[in-house]
Amino acid sequence: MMQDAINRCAGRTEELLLMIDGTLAPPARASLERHLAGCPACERLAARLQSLDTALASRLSATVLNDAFDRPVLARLEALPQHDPASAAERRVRAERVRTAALADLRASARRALGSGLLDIAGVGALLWAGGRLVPRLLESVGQYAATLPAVSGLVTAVAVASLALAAACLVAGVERLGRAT
Amino acid sequence: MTEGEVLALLEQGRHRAAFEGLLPLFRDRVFRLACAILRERAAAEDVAQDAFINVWRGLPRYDGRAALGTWIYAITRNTALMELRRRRACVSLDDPEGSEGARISASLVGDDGQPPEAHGVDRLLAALPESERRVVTLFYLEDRSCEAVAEALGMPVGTVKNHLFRARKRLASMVEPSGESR
Repeated sequence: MMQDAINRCAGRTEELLLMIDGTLAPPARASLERHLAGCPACERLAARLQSLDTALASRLSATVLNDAFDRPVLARLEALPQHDPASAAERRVRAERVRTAALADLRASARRALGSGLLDIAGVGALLWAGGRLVPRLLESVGQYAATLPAVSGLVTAVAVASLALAAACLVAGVERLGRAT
Repeated sequence: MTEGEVLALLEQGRHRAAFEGLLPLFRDRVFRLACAILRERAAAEDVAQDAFINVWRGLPRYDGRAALGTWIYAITRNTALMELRRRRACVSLDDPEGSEGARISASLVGDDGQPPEAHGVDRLLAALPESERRVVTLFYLEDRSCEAVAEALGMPVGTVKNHLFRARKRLASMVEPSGESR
C-alpha cells in the first residue's frame, strides 16, 4: 500500500517531505492537504513519513561537545612542533629564492640551447657552401681522384644532415625551455 | 572569537591563537561530520581530535583560497574516511561474519541504553547506500539545514536535496509494516 502511494502519487512525496520539514509554501500546503483528505494511501504515507521523521530526529538529535573536548587536543598540540611565524616567513623567502634561482638557471640553459642550435646551423651552412664550392674544384685539380667524388659528396651530405638534425633538436629544446621559463 | 578574527590571526602568523579560536568555532560541526561518516560516537570524537591535529599541522599551508570551514571540513572528511577504511580493513580480517558492522550501526550517535525504536532507526539507516546515509544523518544532526550538509560534505545543495529525498523515500518503503500491504 505504501509503495502504491509512493508510485501513484510520486509528485506528492516530495511535497510531503517539504511539509514535514516545514518548508512547503502555504498554497502548495493547502493543495496537499486537500489531496490528503481524498487519498487514503497518501495520508498513510504522510503519517509514516512523519513518524519516520520523528524517529530520525530523536535518534540524531543535535550533538554538541563542550570544552572538555578541547583539552586533550591542546595537550596533543604541545607534543607537536610549534609553528614559528618567523621561521615560516623565512621558509617562504627561502622558497622564493630557490624558485627565482631555478627560473634563472632555466632561462640561461634555454639561451645556451638556442645559441648552440644557431651556431650549428651556421656551421652546417658553411660546410655546405664549402662542399658546393671548394670540393669539386679541389677534385678537378687532382683529376686522378675524380672517381671518389660521389663518395666524398655523400659523406658531406650525411654530415650536413646529421648536423641539421642536431641543430633542430637543440632549437626545439631551447624553445621548450624558454616556454617553461616564461 | 569570530571566523574573521581567526583569519586575521592567521594572516599575522599567530597560529596558536588562531587555532585556539577556531577550535570552539568548529568542534561541533567537525564532530557531527565525523559522526555522519563513522556512525559511532566514540570513534567520531577520536577522529574529530585527529582532524584538529591535522588542521594544526596544515595551518602554515592554509592560503585562504578556500573558506576556512570548507578547508577544515575537507581535512575532517579525509581523516574520517581514512579511519573508516582502516576499521573496515580490520573488520574484514578479524570479523568475516560482519558482526562488527552491525555493532557499529547499532552504536550510532546517541547515549547508551537506547529504546528498541532507536535501534530500528539504526538498522534502517544501515540499509541505506553510504552516500544517502551520510546525507540523511547529517541533515538531522545539522538541524535540517541542507546548506550546512552541503558545506560539510563538499557537495552542491541540489545534490544534498536529491540524496535526502531518495533516502527518505527509500526509508518510507522499508518501514512499510506487513499489516499495510495488500
